[in-house]
Amino acid sequence: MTTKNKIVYLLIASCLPFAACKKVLDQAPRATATKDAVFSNQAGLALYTNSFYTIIPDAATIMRGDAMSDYAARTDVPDFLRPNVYNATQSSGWNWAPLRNINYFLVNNNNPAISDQVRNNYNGIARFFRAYWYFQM
Amino acid sequence: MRKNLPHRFYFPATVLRKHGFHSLFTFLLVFLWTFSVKAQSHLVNGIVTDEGGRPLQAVSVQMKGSNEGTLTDGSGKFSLSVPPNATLTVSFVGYQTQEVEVAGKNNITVQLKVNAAGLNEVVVVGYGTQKKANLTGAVSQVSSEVLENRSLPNLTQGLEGVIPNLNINMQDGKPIQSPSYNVRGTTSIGQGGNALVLIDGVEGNPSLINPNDVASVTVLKDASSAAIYGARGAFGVVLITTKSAKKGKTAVSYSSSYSLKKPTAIPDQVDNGYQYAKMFSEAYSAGSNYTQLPQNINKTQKFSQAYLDAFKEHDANPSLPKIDTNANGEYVYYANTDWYKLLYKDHNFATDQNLSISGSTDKASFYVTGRFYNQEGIFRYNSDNYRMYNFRAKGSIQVSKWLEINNNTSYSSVMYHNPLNVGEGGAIWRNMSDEAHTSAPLLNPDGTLTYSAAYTVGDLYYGKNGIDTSTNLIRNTTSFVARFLNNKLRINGDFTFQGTNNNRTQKRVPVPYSTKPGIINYVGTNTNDLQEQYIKTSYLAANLYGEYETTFGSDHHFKALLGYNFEQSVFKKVQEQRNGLIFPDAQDISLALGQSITTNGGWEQWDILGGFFRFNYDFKSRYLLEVNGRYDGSSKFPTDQQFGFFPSVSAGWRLSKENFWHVSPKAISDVKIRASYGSLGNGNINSYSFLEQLGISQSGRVLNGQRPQLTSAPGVIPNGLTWETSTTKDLGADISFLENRLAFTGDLYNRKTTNMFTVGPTLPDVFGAAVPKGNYADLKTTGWEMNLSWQDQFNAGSKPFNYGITVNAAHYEAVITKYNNPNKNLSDYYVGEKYGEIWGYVTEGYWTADNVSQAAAMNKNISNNSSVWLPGDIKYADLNKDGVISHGNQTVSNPGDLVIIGNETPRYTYGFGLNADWNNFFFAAFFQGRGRTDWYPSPEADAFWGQYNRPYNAALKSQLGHIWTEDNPNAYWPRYRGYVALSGDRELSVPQTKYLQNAAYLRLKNIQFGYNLPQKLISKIKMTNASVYISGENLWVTSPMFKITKHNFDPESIDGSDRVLTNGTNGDAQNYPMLKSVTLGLNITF
Repeated sequence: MTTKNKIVYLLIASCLPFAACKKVLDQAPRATATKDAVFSNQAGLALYTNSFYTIIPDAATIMRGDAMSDYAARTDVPDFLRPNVYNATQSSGWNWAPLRNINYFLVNNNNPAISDQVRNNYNGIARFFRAYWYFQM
Repeated sequence: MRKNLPHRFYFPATVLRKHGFHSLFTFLLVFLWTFSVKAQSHLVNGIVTDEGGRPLQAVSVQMKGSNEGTLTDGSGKFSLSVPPNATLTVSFVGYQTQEVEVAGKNNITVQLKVNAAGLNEVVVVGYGTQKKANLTGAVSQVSSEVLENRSLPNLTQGLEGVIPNLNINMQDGKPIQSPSYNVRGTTSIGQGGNALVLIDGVEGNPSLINPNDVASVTVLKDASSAAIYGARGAFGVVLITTKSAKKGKTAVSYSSSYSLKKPTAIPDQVDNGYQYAKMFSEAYSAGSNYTQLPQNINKTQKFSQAYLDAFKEHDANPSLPKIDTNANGEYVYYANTDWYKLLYKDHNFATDQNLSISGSTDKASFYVTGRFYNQEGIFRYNSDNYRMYNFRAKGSIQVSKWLEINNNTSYSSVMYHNPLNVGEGGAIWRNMSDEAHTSAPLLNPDGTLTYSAAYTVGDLYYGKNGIDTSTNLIRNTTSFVARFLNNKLRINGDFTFQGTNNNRTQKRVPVPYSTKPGIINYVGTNTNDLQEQYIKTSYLAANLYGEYETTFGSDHHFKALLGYNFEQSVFKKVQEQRNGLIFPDAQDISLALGQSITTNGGWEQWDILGGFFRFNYDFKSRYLLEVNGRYDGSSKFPTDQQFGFFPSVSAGWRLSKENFWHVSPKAISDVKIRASYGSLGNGNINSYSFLEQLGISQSGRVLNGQRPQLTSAPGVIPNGLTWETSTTKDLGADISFLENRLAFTGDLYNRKTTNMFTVGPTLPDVFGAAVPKGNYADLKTTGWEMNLSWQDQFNAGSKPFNYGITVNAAHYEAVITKYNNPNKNLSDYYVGEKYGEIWGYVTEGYWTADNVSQAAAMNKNISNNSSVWLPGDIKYADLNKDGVISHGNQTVSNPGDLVIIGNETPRYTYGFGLNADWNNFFFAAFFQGRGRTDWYPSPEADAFWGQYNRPYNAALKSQLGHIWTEDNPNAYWPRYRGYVALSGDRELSVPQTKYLQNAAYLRLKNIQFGYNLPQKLISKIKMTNASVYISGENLWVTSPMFKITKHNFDPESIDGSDRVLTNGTNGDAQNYPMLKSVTLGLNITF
């Protein structure tokens, strides 16, 4: 084989990896989970439902929520107690994100690889929190 | 730029071995000033003419291998005494240099040919090179001359200002600072995007390359020249090309430089503790209408009227102790501390050692370089030392007549130590604003740190906290060129792999201090931890392309290029952190035994592949046409959108080649008009932006006794997303005058970025998620850039004096042309907005005793941190005459009293340089700056606001005498109040005309002066070049705002704080200072 031929073969060989190239452009993230990864196993469902608990107020919110009682000293007068300050525009509105989060779970928790019993268990948790959220409205 | 100047000298290895460099250096220096030459006997008379026989004046005639020479007179005549066998070098700007052998003759006639100066210059373009004369796109190139004899921690710092519209915003002076490269201004308000940076044709990191290895830097500005790189070139391409072996024998070059550096600007603070305490007290108590005194100076010092009185006494009587104890046995301080003096060294030292060896034969060549750069930190304690090692080996071999194989290997290693403050986290400058009180010292009498120190410089003094980063890069490119059909057909291929390791260790241990003799407390008690981070990026790239070039008849010249490109990058990160270090000097995570453990991963892969082509046609070098394009695929887009085709076209017309062009080349030598159009997708985006991603994080709630991990609904991704597109139109001209001595290149452009990925139409709250982004916005950037250069020589003392002047300038502005903001809310972009505009009030003046009664009603939306408005507080113009200063509903149609008061986009950026050489001396100076940029200093910008920000911040000397008092009612600064520049709608926090700064500046970026040792001398010891020089970097800067701010900070570091490490929200200008330096250096080649 002449050098020239060798080079030509090398050139052809170096093109081969590119032939199957289209696939290499379909990349999925690994550092974050995809929908499939979360909803295809019980651990994923548990991981997701953990997020529902964050709508339960934390210690500081509970404490501050009652700050107008006399067990804490505030540095300012709450708007609620100032004359002509508290009005309809004062509220920043409801936060609908937790509801969307729950509904997203209910819509996507349909992977047949997980038994109905397990899925229903987590759907139950979701429905409880949805009821709780509406109750808080 | 300097031409014909030898920069390295040759030297026999034996001399070196015997005497070493020191004796060599001394020897050279002695000769430098003492030699003189006059030893010839043979007299040569001659005349130099142009091709038409017209005599040329001031032509340089030099004996080859010596500095003996002369210039021609007005009739083109010269006479020179030389040995009869000498060779004369005849050179003149705009003409080709000629060598003439004397060969015993006494009369010589030399005819010089016109050099199409600069036009034969070869410019690097995508996948090849192009003669400058035939360029049709907007391309700028500079050679290594702009980097020579400068002390540069990394390459990026040397490129600022040298190429018009290559915009590099340095932000601060950290040695690891290497901001992204912007070409031609505003890119995208959606996905963003910067210029693509390629090193030797393959993507690379410019901050890791050896600046001495760089041969040229080329910027492809318009779509037509960048199109061959497809989507990554949407906002320009920067091509860095490394040096190659020179033809001929083996040469060894060594360059060595030593620099002293110091900050360009340090806040000039009131350094008398008593004065500081008094001003603090005044600024603080203004908030209570002067009824209450502060009880503490922030967290670390007690304060009272009694303390202030005692301080006055201590200040007046220096024999009293600076540190006392009170009734409780606690320390009381009466200090005058200049904290910046404790923070920074007077000077820091840097050195750059570079060795290169190159050589070639007909069949093979090699080029090997090594560099060591070391810069001591600027901090007096726990300093931020920076080191960089570079190694590069290039080799080529001509395997057969038609095949050449090349290899290019490089290794870089960068190490940097960044000290940390654990007390409140964040960077040292902000912490100093808050706790480094002039009234408190660094140390107590027993050597322990004071409370103020522990939050600030004391942490550095303790010396245990910091981040150590190390970056290592190994890269190899193997390539071949196969030439067929008498070099008409060339096939090129290359394969590159590159491995980058970014490792980082962060240690935070509590810092001990004492407020009472014998009692030690700690700050930062909740951060006793070690964090290690490992990032590995594996990158590979392959290119295969062929080029065919031919000429039909003698007039039609064709060139075609067709190629294929594949690239892949895989990023992998591991980070772990654990608390509970068993002792403060622990170095390894094995010695962290605490229960707070966090681990993080990270992963990203992208792949791109594409086919590209370029077709060039020119007719008699008169009409030029170029068509470029790339069919591009990227893994960063959804499956149905992965591929895009990006074509472009450009054309040029060399007017001066037309038959009707009868202008003398002595007036106008060359004229070319060119235009281009192209459209590119923006591929500079984050991977997976188009995919639903469910992030995993730790819950804030305790479930079953622990805080579990959680995931939740991803952000909403709308259907039908597609690429952002940038479409560039460019119109340019290249004109040279006066026999090519004066050259002009200018471009007008507009770049439309369309389908930008921005926020969609507002949705009702019940949607329950952030409004999804989509292809909703457009913007248009228009601008221009120009470059003018002049090169000439004249006779000075019978020696040629060569000099050159270059001027470059650029300007752009961007307008939003489409955006989802129908009400034109000012809090967001809106249609018609000029990018960077600043809305604010018009400052009318101060309230006076006569009208201050109206202030409360007028300023009811603005706070002066007190319930009472007093004379000396700021009065704003009530533009809408409604009796109240307000921002209406913050829309364009109802902005209240707000108007556009400025624009923060840098405008009219420029650079200009002068270089000259005469009789082996050389000189160069380069200035750079911007014509205007408006800056409204942010809250916490303590070096601007001083105690108006927080009363316990340092007081500024620049404000003294310019603060409103009843006796000084027209002072620049209002009534002295703390907290009024701190946030929101406060008196000084609201942007307003009076305190808006023009951060334009003019900087002497580099100035250098040096001497090339005479050839006659160094050739005796077989050297080819030797030079010594002194060079200064950033030695002088001026700015219109210095009237107000003095030199408290550098006009280039007014951006958010410490962007390398933090998110920049700790106050504008709270930054690592820019550095100026003086460098002594030596270059030799032997």
